[in-house]
Amino acid sequence: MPNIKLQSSDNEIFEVDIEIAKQSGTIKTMLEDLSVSDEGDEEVPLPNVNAAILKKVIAWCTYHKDDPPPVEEDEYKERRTDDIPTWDQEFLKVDQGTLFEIILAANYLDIKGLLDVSCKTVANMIKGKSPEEIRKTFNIKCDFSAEELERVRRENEWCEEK
Amino acid sequence: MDLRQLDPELRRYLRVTRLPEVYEALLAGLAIMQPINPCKWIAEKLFYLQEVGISQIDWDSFIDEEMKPKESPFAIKGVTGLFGGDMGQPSPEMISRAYQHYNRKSFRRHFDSWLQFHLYRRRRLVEKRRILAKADGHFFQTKVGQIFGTWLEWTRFRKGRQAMAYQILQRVLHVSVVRVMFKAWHGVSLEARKTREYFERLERGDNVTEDEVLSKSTGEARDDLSLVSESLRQQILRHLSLADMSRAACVCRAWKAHTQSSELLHKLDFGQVRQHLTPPVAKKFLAQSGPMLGHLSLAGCRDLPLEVFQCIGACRNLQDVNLSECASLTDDAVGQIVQGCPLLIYVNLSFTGISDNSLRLVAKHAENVRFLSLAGCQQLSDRGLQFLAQGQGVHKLELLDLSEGVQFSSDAIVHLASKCHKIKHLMFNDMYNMQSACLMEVASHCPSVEHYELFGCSSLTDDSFRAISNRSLRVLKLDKNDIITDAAFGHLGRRCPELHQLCVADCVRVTDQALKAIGQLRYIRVLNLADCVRLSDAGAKSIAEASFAQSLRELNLTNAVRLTDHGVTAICKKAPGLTHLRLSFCENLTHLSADSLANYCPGLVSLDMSGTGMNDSAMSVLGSLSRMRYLYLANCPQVTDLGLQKLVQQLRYLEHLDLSHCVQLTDGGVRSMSFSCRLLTKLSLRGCRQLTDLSMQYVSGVCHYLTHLDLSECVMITDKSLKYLKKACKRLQNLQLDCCQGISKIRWDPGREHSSVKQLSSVGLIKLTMNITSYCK
Repeated sequence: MPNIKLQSSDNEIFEVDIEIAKQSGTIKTMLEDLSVSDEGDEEVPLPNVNAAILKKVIAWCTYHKDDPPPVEEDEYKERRTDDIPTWDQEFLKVDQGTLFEIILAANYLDIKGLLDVSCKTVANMIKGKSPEEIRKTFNIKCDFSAEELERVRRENEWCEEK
Repeated sequence: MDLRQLDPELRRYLRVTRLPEVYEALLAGLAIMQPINPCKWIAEKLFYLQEVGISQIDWDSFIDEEMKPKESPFAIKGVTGLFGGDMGQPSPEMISRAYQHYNRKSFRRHFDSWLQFHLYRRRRLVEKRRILAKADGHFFQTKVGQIFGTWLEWTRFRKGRQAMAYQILQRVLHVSVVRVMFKAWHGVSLEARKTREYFERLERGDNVTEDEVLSKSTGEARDDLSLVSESLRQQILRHLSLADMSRAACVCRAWKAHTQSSELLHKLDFGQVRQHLTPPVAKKFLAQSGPMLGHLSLAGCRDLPLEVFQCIGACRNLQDVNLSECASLTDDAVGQIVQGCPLLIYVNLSFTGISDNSLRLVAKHAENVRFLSLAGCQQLSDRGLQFLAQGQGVHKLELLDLSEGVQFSSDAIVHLASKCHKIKHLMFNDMYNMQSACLMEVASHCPSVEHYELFGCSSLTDDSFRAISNRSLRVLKLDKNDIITDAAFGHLGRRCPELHQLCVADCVRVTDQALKAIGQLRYIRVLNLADCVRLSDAGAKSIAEASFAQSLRELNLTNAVRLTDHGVTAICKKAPGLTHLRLSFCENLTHLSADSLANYCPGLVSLDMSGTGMNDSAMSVLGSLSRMRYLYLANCPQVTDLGLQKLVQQLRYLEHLDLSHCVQLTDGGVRSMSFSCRLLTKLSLRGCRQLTDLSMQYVSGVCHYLTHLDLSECVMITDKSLKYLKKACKRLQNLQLDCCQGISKIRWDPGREHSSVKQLSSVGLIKLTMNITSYCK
């Protein structure tokens, strides 16, 4: 299997199987457009991804390299966030900063699957929580004044359990 | 006189010369012989003695033989005694004895004195040691005393310094606390001033738009979600329901802005929040989205009043509306919507109570509709379809769903179909009265249908299949039809080169010939032949030899009871790309099938071998299918703990596992399973009667991702298990406990909670099934 060298923003080199790297749309286009030789003697610079995150991303791609295409189901599928594969849930058990960095990296590298599960994971961090819990989760200070807060709360109280 | 008193020189002389013996011999001779002339006799005898030598002398040497007495006439002692005799001369024995005696004596004396000396030395040594030890002890104590003194001094010094440092720190802390408080107070006061200014500005009526204010106040928006780009944020927030979105809006100003972005207002899904939705809220959201609304789902919102639907009509750019199961939907409402939204493309009116008039309005106003679902609308009649057929835009229709529309006549359906030349998807599910002639007519009018769904159309015949077979057909699904025969497949095989997906479940007349007939199709990826019981190895071989074998991904041969290991092996060899395979209840399959699967189909993700003859050796072989995520092994009674252990050792990423009625399993097997498969989400142990609470302790200890668990008929499970599950399996949504006699009796009505249920209620359990009646017998 031919390998390709990826260079992170902090100049660390990762040697990756070309098939694994091609899960990234960005790298795939790069390889196809530039017709980089398969020899892998040149590093592909990825200036937006640091070594730690790149390592995680490569780990994800390695695990998912043989994933079969999804089951042929009807196209009108409901949006669900509880269908994240368990391995991915375990994989994305990282601190919030890392999780968002993975999202940014997945977006930059155009890895649809990873972007999808990581976005769902963030959505799950918001789901079913009260505003106060969300603030705690994301370390946000409530900057509404008392009047504003009262107004916005009244607007949105419909979704609370009765 | 005693010779021993004599001078030793003399004694030696006497001994050497033997004079005493000579005298004795002479005396003895004289006494015995009594010569007449003694002097002459003495002289003669002395001459004789001179001749023979003195050494020959004996006491009777001078006595003639005949006169020799037995004994010396003198007491020997007398003569020898005169000269001291031999007694005076110590014999060698005496000397040696004397010597020995002397030796011993001197030895003893020397030994004694040596002993004395030795004891003396020893005493001195002991004394010396004692003194040394004493000296050492004394030295050590002095040293310790010194060190202790130094340490004490040092400790006192340190204590002093610590106290000093503590005082300094206290002072610093005090100062900094005051500083922090001051800073915070400063911030608060600034904040308050800002707010006051903002409200003053509002009161003055300065026309600042809310967005500007929000963007200005994003000084706080330093959280991760606010820092990512707009498109990524929308990608995340898209997964939230409206309820979650509303809660998120209460978090802070920045988040409020996030939740109101136009992208998110483009899609509204009330179906997810239907239990909270009230008409005013729905109206508010619709008003907020207004012309931005593109996609709207009201699926399952049963009692919305007319004014909500009127509000929908105000969203002019709506393209996609799903009103499925809106029980309160009326013709008026449909009219409002279609008149207000001329751009509608997707319209789903399934399972509503609309009447023909609605379809008249749809046909009249919604000219762009391409996807229309009328499934389960019982109030519609042929007239409705006629209205639809008269519409301006009917020829644009691409999808039509008339499922469950048993009231429609063939003529009406054919008439409608005759206008829809471009239609690509046709769904006639559960129309049991659908006649072949009707379908043939429809097919003749619609030559380019790609997708037929005919579930439950049990009256169709082979002829209708000839009609629907066209060059562009890609998907065909039907089931429960016992009329069609292999001839139908012949038509498909000859005329549908594009067929991708074929589902012909529960059609009992289908035989192996059918599979041979479709052998030349090249693109079939999904093949479902469940419950076609006549299929056998010949059919399997046809699949293996078919052109599509290489591209086959999903295969369902459930209940093909005649299928044997040979057939499975043939398929596996030729279809290496299989990912989903169901062979449940193919009773003749043995571990040889498992061998073939493991050898030729490494990509299997999902495998159903329920009700087959899988045993422990099969289990260890299946373990090598490393991509397996979903495995169903219900009703394999030959499987034991050992087999399970071998299986799970290699399949650490399993997510679904069904071991129902594997009756030989015990707690040990569950133990190895739960410790290997930490990522399980669905687990069924139904009917494993040997399992005890220990199993649940193992499972709950490791499998924290479990959402579905079936413990029905596990008679030894008790309330303790529920306690374990409650404690560790926080994601559990569905728990089945039918016929669990060990669980304390539960009266399951929503109002009253029993203790066992209460134990679980905090877990977020969505469904708890308990069949009580069956064990209260």
